Amino acid sequence: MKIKNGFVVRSIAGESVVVALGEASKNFNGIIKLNETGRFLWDKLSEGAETEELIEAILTEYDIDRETAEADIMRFVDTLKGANILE
Amino acid sequence: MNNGEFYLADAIEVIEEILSGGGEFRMYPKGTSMLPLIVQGRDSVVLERNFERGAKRNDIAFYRRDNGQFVLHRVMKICDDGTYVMCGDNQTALEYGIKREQIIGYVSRLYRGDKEFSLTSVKYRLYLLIWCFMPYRRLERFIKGKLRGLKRRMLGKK
Repeated sequence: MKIKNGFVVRSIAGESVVVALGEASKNFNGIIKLNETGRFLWDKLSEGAETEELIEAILTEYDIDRETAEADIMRFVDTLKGANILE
Repeated sequence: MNNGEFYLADAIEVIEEILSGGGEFRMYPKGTSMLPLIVQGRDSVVLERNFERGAKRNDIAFYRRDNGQFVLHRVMKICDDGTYVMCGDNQTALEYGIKREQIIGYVSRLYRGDKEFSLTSVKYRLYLLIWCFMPYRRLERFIKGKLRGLKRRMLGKK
């Protein structure tokens, strides 16, 4: 999985947000807020992580069970795919 | 600040970065000054900035006042010295002396909910021609004010 070109993380009022720059902004002209976990996953995704790597990373970083982690990650990835941010 | 909302003052750097890179940014205007065209909570606008094109007469421009306020109003006129005269569609007082560098972007598309309201449509052109013709708007305000006064007198209210 890869984050499409043009999508970047910026900080607004101390919060991490995803915005689109340049051509990417023609199809996405809003802002997505990332919470702490969202930011963590985003950074992994921008390094090209696949779903399994995301799950492992979350399990190492946070104290949650695999099932919850998988469900949360799938929801996050689906949101990004729905917004056409992932390729 | 609600979910998904930011104060413009906090977000402005990011918005300017997007616009100056040739990008588009959608926002949901607040307030009543652009009525009847833009209704808070229903409508959204897509901003753009093209340095070569610049904001033109009749464009709805997003700009920063000297006092730091952010405003979305219409360009009524561009003066010979390059400054802009602005006015909200729901206002009759003109605002003079807005400089080019105060303009952050201008509206390239307008949305009513999810549906685009075309800024090249006949409907919009008629709106520009009639409503955005200031003498008409002033006359309308004058008549409405008179009618209100008349109604008050007839009903015997103060």
